[in-house]
Amino acid sequence: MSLIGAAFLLPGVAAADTRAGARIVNVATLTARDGDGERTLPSNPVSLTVAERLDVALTRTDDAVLAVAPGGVAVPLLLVNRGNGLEAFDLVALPSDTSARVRLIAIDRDGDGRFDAAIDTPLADGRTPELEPGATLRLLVVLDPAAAEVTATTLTAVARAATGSGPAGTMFATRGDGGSDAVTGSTDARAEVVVPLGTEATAAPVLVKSQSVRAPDGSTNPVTGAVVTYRLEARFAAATAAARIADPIPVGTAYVPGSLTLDAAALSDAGGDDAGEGDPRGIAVDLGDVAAAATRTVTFQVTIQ
Amino acid sequence: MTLRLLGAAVAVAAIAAPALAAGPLTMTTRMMVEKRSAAADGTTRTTLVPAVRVAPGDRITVVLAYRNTGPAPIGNVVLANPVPRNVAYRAVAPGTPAPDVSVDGKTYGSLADLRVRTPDGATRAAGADDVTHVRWRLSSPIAAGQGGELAFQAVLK
Repeated sequence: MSLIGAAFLLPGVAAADTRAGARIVNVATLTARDGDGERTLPSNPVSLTVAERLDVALTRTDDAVLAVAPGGVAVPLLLVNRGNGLEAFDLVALPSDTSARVRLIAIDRDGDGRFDAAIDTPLADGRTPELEPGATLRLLVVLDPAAAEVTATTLTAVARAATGSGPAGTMFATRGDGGSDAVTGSTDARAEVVVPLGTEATAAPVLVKSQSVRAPDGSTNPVTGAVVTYRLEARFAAATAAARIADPIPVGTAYVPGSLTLDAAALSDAGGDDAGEGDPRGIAVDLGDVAAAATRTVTFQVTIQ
Repeated sequence: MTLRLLGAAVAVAAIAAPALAAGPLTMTTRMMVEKRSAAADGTTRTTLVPAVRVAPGDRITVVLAYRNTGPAPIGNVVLANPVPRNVAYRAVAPGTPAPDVSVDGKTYGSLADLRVRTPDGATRAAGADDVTHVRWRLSSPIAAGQGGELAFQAVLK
């Protein structure tokens, strides 16, 4: 059953979704032939109204570490209406601490990634205009320093469908286009993007650690025997000399020998033969001198004991 | 709603063709969606409920219910259903005999035997997305007072 589902969902993704509010009408016919000839009988027409599926995507348009400096910095974001109806979206952006402050969120009308008050339009109350299904909107979050030293390391931006958001399947009766019902799709009608921040003075490298879990039963439950893949992404805004990534193996887990990689290339566990080394205590990778605006990615695996 | 509309359809047919006495045969269609609910024993039960709220990608089951309300059997019965706009045919529903399908409303057969003309003038094997009509020829007459149901599965584009 799931195979059939996958087979027919793929083309559905490529094709345009049926618009919310459209009516689907079905009429069947019944034909009987006998000595008097042929007669045809139509069935009752039965109809349904296509619901508005609420889905949204919010992404960055580049990977640079942005410095919050006097005069402000604009963070360019791309918002996509992934639903099948006309929908507005509410945006909220928050730095990780109060050393930076969001001045405004604007539509990047000329798409140049820079805020120009004469061209770009600030959103009223953080709400976008209504977007057609599949339409994209370029946005700018303009940040100002709010302290002598900006210590905020990230900016988190969240977009929500104006009709409503919530776990997939959450229903908003009659709130969809043309009086149809609105229902949240697989994105929960909410999208979030985390943007790393730096300052010109520090331009410190940012190390982002993420993990994925694969249990013996194929699930992502962190149970005994599950393999955890750690991903360490080092982002360098400025050129950095003799950079080194080191990470201890977490208590209760065991390093998977030979699982260390740098930028998707395998590294040996032995020290001295290449940039990496791994043992039951931890992993380390010498990156050497790294150029500005570079990202290096290290992965390794452990099993949960 | 269904009953009222059915009554109207029968009345129109009776006025249009009184000599043919369309009365004994009735047919209604329904569009249904799968609804999953948790049963008390922890299993998930899937039931078909009338389609009210359907979003793109949702599966629909189209049901054709027919009945012979007259006193004599009726033979040579064909039930046909054009696939509605914005709906893509998927498969026959479990428990229903395989229908003949068509990709042009004229030629009917099994999907594996049908071909579709491409814009460059060649042809290719037809797929479920190409189906425009679904049709069943009942192999035996409908006995007096008897009826049945046929169904196919589709997906909202």
